[in-house]
Amino acid sequence: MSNIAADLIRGHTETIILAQLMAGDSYGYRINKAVKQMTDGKYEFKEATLYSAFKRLEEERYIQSYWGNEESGARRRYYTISDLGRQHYRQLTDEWGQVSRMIEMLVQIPQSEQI
Amino acid sequence: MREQIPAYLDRVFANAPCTRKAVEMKEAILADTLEKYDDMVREGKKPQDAYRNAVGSIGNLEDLIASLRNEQPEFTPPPPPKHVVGAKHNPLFHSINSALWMLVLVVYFLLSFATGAWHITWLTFLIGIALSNILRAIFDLIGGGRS
Repeated sequence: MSNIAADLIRGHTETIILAQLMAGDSYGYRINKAVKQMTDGKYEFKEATLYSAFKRLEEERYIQSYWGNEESGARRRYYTISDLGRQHYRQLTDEWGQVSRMIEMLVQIPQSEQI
Repeated sequence: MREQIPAYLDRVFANAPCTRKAVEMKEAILADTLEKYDDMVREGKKPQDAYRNAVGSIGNLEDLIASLRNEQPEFTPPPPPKHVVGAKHNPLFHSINSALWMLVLVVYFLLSFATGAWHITWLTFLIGIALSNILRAIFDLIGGGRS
């Protein structure tokens, strides 16, 4: 995957995380597995990207986190979306709908105007 | 190789501030990385390859750790001092103690006048001191055990 394509996805990290959490509580690795599956293994987040986004989202109160109750091994940190987060998700996806249509138009070869 | 993953994260987080957030983030990333490693080994990857891949997928945490460093460390109030209700602050001890001394005084005079052996009966006060100290010790013991 080219850098531009990867950057494009990375620019939507927060929307992608919120989308996953709209379906139910989840944690870092599980979210990343879903991303990998949906992109046919072509893309997955670095932990650094994922946790930077978690931190921002939590600071904005779009998500909250809590510990899982794993009996053994390292504990998972679960994230849950707040009502504010749901609102924010809808706003982001609306925006993306508009922008993606715009980009689709903008990358077309313009039809030469007929005289 | 699996046991090297926590060691790797220890090194990465060596400069992280000692805040709850930093510790939580490290543990969450550790859980993710271990699970990823386990999945890859289960799929048949060699441990070395799985380790390299799992650790590689962590990426560069420098900026994230630096952002944790800029935050004010959360104020953690020191634990309140253990409140020991020993003899010193126990009103019950003080009343029993003064009653004891009153009793010692009465016994001293009774013994002294009855026997006339004033050169011996003063020892009653030594017994009084001993009893008072035993009483104090008992209250300290009970009070200390309760706190």
